[in-house]
Amino acid sequence: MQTPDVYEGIRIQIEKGHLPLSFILGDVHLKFRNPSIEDFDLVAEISPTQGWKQDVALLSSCLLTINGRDATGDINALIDAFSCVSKSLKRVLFSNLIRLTDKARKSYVYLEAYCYEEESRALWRSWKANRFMGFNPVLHQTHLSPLQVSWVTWNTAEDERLQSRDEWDRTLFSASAFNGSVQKIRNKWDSSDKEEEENRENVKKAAREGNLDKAKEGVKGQRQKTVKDLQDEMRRWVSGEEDLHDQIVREYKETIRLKVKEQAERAVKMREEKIRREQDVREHSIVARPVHAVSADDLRAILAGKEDNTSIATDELSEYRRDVVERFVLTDEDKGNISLSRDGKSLVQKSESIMDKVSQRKPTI
Amino acid sequence: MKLSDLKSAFQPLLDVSHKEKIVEVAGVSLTLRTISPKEEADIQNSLPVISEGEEGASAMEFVDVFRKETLSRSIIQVGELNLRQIEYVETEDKTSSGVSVKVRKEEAVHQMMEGWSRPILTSVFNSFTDLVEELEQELNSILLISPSDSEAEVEVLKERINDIERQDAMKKVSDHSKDILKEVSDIKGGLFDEALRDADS
Repeated sequence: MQTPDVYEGIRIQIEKGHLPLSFILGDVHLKFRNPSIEDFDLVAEISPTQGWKQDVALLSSCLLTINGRDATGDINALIDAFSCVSKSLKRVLFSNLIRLTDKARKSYVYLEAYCYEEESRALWRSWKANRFMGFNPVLHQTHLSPLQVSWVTWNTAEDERLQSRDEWDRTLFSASAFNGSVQKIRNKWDSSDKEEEENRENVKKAAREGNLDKAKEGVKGQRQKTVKDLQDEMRRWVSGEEDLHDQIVREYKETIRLKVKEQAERAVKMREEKIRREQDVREHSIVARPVHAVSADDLRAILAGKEDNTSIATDELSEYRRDVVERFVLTDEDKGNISLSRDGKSLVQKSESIMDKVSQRKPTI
Repeated sequence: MKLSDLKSAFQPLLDVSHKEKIVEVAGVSLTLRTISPKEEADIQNSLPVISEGEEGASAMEFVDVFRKETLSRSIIQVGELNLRQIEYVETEDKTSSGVSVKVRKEEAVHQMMEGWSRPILTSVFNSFTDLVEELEQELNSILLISPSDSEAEVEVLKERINDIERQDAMKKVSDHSKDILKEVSDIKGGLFDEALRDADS
């Protein structure tokens, strides 16, 4: 059995900015996109109270083309046109459009898992390549959808995370030889990365198995409608109270707002982690503390200052530096045993005086 | 896209999306047409509120109003009189300045139906529901949707079932009132029925 592609909805929405919907009726081809929160806000503005008008306004707002011709623009003319189609056709168009809204909402659930997939990263790299070459990665869009914004935000944060990890690896390479605390931080980062990887694998696995879609509702048992049910239904029908369509729209709005909020929180978390790691890198990077040329007098002054210091130096780097300074900078120059002759033409070996030899003798009994 | 282009682009859609049907009522041919969302909203707005207390009487009234309001928008031709593009109809009444008083087309048809007996009204309304059913079936057979969504299909069918159940509920109300009238007339030996006819006349 073929595994269902759980990422289909999210992939299309990232690439196109919307989910498409086509109707072919005779020789007429209507192409719609799924409604956005802006569309719902617009239709509520067009008619705050009349449900039927909101329905046709939503159809008008989401219509992209008629027989391949761009139909976006004059929404009022489209509302007039859709007001005249039969109730039956409007019902089919509208029901499918609302279902598309629900499909868009459900695919939002898979956004996080999709971000963790290599496919998503490959798509992100192709976006960046397009931008680098001066092309717009999304066609026919004036602004990104909330889902696209979430995806871009996540990928940007992931880029930064990977970059800070890379910087860390370089820092580790140059700093670990000098500092024992590097290993502790390295372990902390490795542990954190491992935890993150495990979490990502779990989310991906759950998504592929279709277990992320909590929006799926169990099939409720159908019962015969009573006269009271019918009366209630009639009352709702006449008074225009919330029906299934209204419920889908409400849930869509709530989900989008919730997911955008969640995404923002996730981005903040990733940013904080990045800042923490940058701090670690700064504290241990040799690059962050470049070598300055100092004279022997400066060094003496520095070391004298250090000796005056009442604190106890504990870090290994300072100890090491002091050893280096004492051994190579402050000790007198050893001229060796060989020197040039007076005329400068031959090498003369320095002969040890008898007194020197005597002074080196150790008396034995 | 210009407005004229939009209208011409939409015309085939309007042609396919509606259906017409001719019915004979007492020797007069009536042409019925399926209704639009706007017309359905107008019908809903014109309906009375169903009151809890006097369920029988108000339910009957509700059903009558619903049928008349629906048919007044669905009838687009009476005999030779074409009402398709007509918004207002001239009456025989004139203003003091001699100008004919006009009423909306729906109102004119509504007035015409005031003289219909309930069985005629029911029969014409049944023809209208048959017409809607035929259109639904036609649309199902010619409409291609991509990507198809079984849930949307189920939802459309559910709404259609709701419509049918609503019509059935109205029919039950209608039949129930008929039964009551019959029972009363049986008890009173036909006197009540006669009294009603007298009152009508």
